Amino acid sequence: MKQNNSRREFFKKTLAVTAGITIVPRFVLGGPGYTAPSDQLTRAIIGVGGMGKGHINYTDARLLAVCDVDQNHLKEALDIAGSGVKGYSDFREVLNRPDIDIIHIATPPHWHGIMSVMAARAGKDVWCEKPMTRTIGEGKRVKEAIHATGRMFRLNTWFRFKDVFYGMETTVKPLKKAVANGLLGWPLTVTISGITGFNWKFYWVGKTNLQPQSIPKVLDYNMWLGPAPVKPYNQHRVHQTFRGYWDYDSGGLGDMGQHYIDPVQYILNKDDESPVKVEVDAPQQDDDAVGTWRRITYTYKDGCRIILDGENRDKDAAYIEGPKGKIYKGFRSTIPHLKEKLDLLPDPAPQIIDFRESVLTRKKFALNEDNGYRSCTIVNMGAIAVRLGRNLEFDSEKQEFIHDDEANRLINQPMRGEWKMD
Amino acid sequence: MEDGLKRKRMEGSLYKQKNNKKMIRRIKILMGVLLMVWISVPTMGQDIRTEETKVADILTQFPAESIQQTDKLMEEITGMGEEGILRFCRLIVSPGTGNDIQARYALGSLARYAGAPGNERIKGEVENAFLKSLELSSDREIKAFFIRKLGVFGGDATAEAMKEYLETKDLYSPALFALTFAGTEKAKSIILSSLPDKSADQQVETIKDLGKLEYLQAESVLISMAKDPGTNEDVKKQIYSSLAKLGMEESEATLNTAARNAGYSSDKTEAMNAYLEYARKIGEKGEKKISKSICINVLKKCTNSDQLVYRSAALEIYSQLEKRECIKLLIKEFTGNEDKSYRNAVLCISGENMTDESKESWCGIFREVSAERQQELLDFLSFYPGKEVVKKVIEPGLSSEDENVRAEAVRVLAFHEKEKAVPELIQQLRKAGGEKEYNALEKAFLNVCSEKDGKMLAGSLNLLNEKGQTIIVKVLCEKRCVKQGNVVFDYCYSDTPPLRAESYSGLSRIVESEDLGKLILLLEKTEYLKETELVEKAIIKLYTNDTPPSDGSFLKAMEVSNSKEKYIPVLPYLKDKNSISQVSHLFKEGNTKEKVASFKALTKWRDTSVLPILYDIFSDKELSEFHKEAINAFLRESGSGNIPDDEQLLWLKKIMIECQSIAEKKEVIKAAGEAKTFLSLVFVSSFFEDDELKSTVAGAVMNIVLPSVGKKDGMTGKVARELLIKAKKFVGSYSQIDIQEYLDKMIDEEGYVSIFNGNNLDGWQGLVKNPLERAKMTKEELAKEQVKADKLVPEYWSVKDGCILFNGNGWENLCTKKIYGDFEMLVDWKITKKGDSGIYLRGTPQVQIWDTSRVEVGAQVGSGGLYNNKINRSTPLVVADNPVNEWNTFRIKMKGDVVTVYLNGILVVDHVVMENYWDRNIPIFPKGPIELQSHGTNLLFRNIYVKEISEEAIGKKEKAEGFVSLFNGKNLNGWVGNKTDYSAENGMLTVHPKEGNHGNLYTEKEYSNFDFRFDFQLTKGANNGVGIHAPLKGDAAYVGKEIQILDNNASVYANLEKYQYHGSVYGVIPSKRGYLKPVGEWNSEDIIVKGDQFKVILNGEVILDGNVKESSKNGTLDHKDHPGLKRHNGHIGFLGHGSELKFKNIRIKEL
Repeated sequence: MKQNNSRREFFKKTLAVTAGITIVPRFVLGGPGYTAPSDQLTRAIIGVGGMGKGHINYTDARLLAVCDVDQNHLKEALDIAGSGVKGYSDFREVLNRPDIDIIHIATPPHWHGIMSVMAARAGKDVWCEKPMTRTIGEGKRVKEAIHATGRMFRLNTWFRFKDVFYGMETTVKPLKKAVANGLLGWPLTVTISGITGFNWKFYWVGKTNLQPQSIPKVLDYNMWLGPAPVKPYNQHRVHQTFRGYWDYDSGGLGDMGQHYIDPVQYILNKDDESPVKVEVDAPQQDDDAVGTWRRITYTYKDGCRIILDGENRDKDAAYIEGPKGKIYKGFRSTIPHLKEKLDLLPDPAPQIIDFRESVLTRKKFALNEDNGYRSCTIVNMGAIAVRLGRNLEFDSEKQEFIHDDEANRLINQPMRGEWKMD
Repeated sequence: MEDGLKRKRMEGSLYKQKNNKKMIRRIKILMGVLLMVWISVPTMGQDIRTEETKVADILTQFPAESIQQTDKLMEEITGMGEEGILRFCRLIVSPGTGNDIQARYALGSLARYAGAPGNERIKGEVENAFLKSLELSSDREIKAFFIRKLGVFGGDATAEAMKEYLETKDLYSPALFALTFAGTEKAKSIILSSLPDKSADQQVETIKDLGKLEYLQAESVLISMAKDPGTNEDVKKQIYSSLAKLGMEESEATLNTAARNAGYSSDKTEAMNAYLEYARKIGEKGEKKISKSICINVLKKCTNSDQLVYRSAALEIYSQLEKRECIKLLIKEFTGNEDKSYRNAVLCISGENMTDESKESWCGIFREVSAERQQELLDFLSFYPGKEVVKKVIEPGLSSEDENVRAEAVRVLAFHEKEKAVPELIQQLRKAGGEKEYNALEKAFLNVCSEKDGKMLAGSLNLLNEKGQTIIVKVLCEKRCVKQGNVVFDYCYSDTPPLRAESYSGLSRIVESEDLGKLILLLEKTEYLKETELVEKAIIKLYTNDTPPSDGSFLKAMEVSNSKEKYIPVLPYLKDKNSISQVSHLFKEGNTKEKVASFKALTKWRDTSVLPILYDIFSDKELSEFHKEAINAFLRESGSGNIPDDEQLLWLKKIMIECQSIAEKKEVIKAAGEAKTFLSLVFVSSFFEDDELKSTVAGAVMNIVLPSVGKKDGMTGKVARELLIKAKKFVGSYSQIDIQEYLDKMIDEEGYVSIFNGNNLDGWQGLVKNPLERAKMTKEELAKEQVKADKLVPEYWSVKDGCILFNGNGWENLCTKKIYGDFEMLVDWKITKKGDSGIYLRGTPQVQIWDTSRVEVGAQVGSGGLYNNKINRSTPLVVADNPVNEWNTFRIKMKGDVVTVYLNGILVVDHVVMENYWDRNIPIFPKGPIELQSHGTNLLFRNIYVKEISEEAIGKKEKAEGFVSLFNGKNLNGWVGNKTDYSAENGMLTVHPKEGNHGNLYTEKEYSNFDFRFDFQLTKGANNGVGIHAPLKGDAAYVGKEIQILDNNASVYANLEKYQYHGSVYGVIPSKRGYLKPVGEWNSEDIIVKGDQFKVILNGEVILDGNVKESSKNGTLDHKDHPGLKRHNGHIGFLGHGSELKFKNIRIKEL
């Protein structure tokens, strides 16, 4: 029945898309005219700093190119990558290479949207770092571009299909089973806190009153900024600490939020809707620097809630709680013999968790532009509410805030100079 | 000026009353008087402040703590008028030239506040102030700041001002942004008039915004720009898009030409998108004719596959205009087009305006279209319930020749009819053929059936073939049709493999406690491993149910069984505690099958009693096939949190010795990293030199030393610091930052120091008599005796393999050369059979160590007790000893005369006073050596660490937390007020009231949110108080707040109100009584103030935690006016009341 519902959703979506005069997506019905990529897949990485360097060792496809606006990063990456890999400073040259199938995007988030869209339009499949995009509007456009071009998209977080679900000492699967089979009842509240391994606040707070510094010769700062507004260079803005500034990301929430929220969205079966309310408890934020926050609470239409506990007030978090019971830290539970009970329940529907398979068969990856957009929207809703210092209501259908112009303006934010995403 | 302000406020209050004509005159007067009194009190404190101070006071409160506080501050700022706002504006400076953070916070909030609905009245004032500041500044960045802020709320005045900035290159973008957000007619016309001489990029931006604003007056300008051959493609694209948004009749020709020029295909100007968007827009405006003609044009021109998107869009727009007549066109498109996605779009479009009539039309064509289209129609129509859909579409679909169509029809039937579809699905199952149809049927049954359909489903089994039966069995099990469980049991004996397999795998879902007998019967009969496992799973299910069957019947069946291995997997789930020894026995003595099953059961055991068994398996070279799984199971159970960290570590050390591979060692190190103790740090760091292990060690070190998230359990001390610095080299970049952050904050203290170097007995010496006798000796005598004693040491004590060894003969204690006062100590010890020893603290016996089997001397109470206590408890709280010949860990803390002991992580002595064995009339010596006692048996000690506790270290810790001293102990610098009665004496602040001079002593500085920490000593009946947020004049208890300091145990205070107890917010929030120390002893107190939230901690106990605003909502407890409750800033003071008392260690941390 689920399938039918999503079909109905699709009817609606198609209409929404034609309303904007974009194309009826071909991939949905697997239309003709596809040439599957050759078995020998190839890839390139844009952004080879802290995160991107890790992508060099992925084995999903042969690495042909790396790109970075910092010559030091580039040099280090080329050293690790070995022969046969070419270095670039302008990612557009990478996109122009016809022999590359997959583009990994591991830049700071203010680039994710633009690069994903440009890569898709250049006929590349996209492997993008989290958070998917820095704004809700950019996410929407990535989704549309991926649909319109029929490309494959995977987001680089994986807790919904593998690895231990922070603090719970279990993968998501048994939790999904417990929820789907009503063991906990409905609606559910999921509380996540620092037991995630990273404090939500972490050290991703920016510094206020940054003093201008001279730009290092090895860095193309103009290109690093790209669509972001020009602000005087200070080393705290770039590289490891960029998440502390609203222009590029949203602190610990941006860094780890999607890792933690995406699996929750999957467990709650909310891949097709957004929360209708976000409440924040946080000190006032600086215009430029991201600050700390104490608590963010999201509420869905049916009463399900996601609580991000930035203060680690809840000792037993993470936990999932419903009227019939709860499962908490260490996979302990108020339900006796939970594990044995779960063994007896049917598994959730299988997902494609190998991007290679997705690229070769043109079937959607488990975490793709659609559900990834949704979970990233939760992150961004929280960031906007924290940034404005007020609680917000959200229209899940229209994907906009209700009666709040200023919040809505943060859904789409202006881009600088030549960079646009229309 | 100050007087004027005051008058203004009073006039304001009178004015309000004049307007309220319905009030009785008398009440009016009374109220007026009350109001004046009420107002005059707090204003006395506030009006002293100059405007500048007010600005500064407000600014210090940014960033605001909460939404409510922001609003409150905004009221204060706007209350200062335009001139006041300008004061804030002037504080903004160019980046890099000063610190204007707070001002930026304040003005950012102000812009938002001014733009919020309901705040229109102050909007103009704020706008004026911002515009003035914008004009006055010459710095680009400051100008941009004000423009951005004005953009949030500005009106026409802002629009007018933006004209100028639209012409500048630097400020163009923010100005356009501000205008677009304002969106007034004026703003729009300004935007339009700025268009002509801009660069292409800027034009694109501007035109986009004009479109967004739907500014109709822009049309003619845009059309003529579109015609201009010099206009570039990007600009054109934006012109088309904006024209489409405007949707004016005159644009038709322009967009038509553009579409034609684009060949009705995708091009750089995206003219087709604009053309169709225009058709939609103008259609919505009522110009149906134009809209329709565009659609028809597009339908005519767009026939190629890459144009179908435009075709579908045109069709959609057309169908919105002509809902009724459109169905024929849609059907034609559906039946005539070979592109599947296009057909899908056609159906979507039809679905938007579905009527009964159009539904009928779609139903009508079902039989005539191809199988592929039939499937599409089935899916589509499944959303529109109704008889004719069933009759004309689903039913014909079910009997179609094409299997795909049948499968789709089954799916749709289930979706459409839900639980009502069951009988029909059973009929379909009888005649079904083909894999796809069976799959569809299975899914359909699973979707629509529930437990109550069990009977009907079971009833159908005889009519079905084996394929059908298999599906039904699956559904019965999935839906937990326990009443039909018998059927499933029966099929477990079937000869058909798939049916039999399905029955076995479903068993566990349909069994109930009563079925145990049947399951055991089946278990005995199973021949295939898979089937055996499934029956075992079903039995386990019974035992994990909320109402499990008794263990007895299962164990009895097992006893008589010849295939015990089938029973063993269930044992971990029984309640019977003895079953573990049975399993362990079968593992050792049983046949191969039993052995394998027993091991598997052991790895599933959830109880620490399995640890020794797993250890034995792991360390047995002959059992190497079990090695790997044994360690995994061991580490899982030992890390389960069921045993304390100290004990876990002892196990890990044992198992580490038996590890054979690097991978195993890594796992053990990781596990040790989870036990956050100093000794685990010592343990993991001993592997730092191994290249293959060092990164694992680094991770473990980081885990142990850094605080767990949300806790303050980070480790300090030299050892921790050095290891952390070393670990930093081998961890990832995120972790490096984490480590550095912690190192930067880490307080500098010695921490645990090893007092045994592992190689020799440096730092140790022999024992000379006892402390009392030693005290009587002269220096020379003592030295002589010491030489004698030291000579004896090597006879008894030696060092081997990093341990101190006692050879079992004699009675000579080994003592530290160093003398200790207060300290914490760690030591591992091991004794042999009949062993006896102890740890002497400050030269005095002893924390007891003995073999618990020595019942004759009472050793069954366990080790760790303060053996020689007569008055206070001498026995441990629980027995926590490990067996003899195994290591044990002591954690001993001695502060003053109070001792706490943990044995193997378990508390055995809880803050017990240790008595003086040598002279029972005096308390324990303040200082002395630590001694290892010998008592004629073999002993081993290792890992001996001592951390000295000193007051200085505490001071450092507080400093690191952000506390600063408010009192230097020497004079009253930093204080104002009554410096006659208050004075500094011997590092204490003392109060000696002199007659007739009872003023208060205040801090020079003012504080708003803080943790105020101090020690105080009362005299009998003493009364004082701490003033909070107090002005320098007036009774601080009312014009500020007072936290009471009072010997409320004194008889004179027998009849106190609760809100007068020590620690209460005087008159407002009561505190808990009973936590003061006796008069003459020092008390320590924290007063934590955050906004209206007050917390008082006395000697470690929270005696008050409340909100003054909440508590006084319905009036204060003492029914008096407390205007000071509204203050959030002020001096802290000691409010002398003529009693003698002392304070010391006065410090504060601002929050």
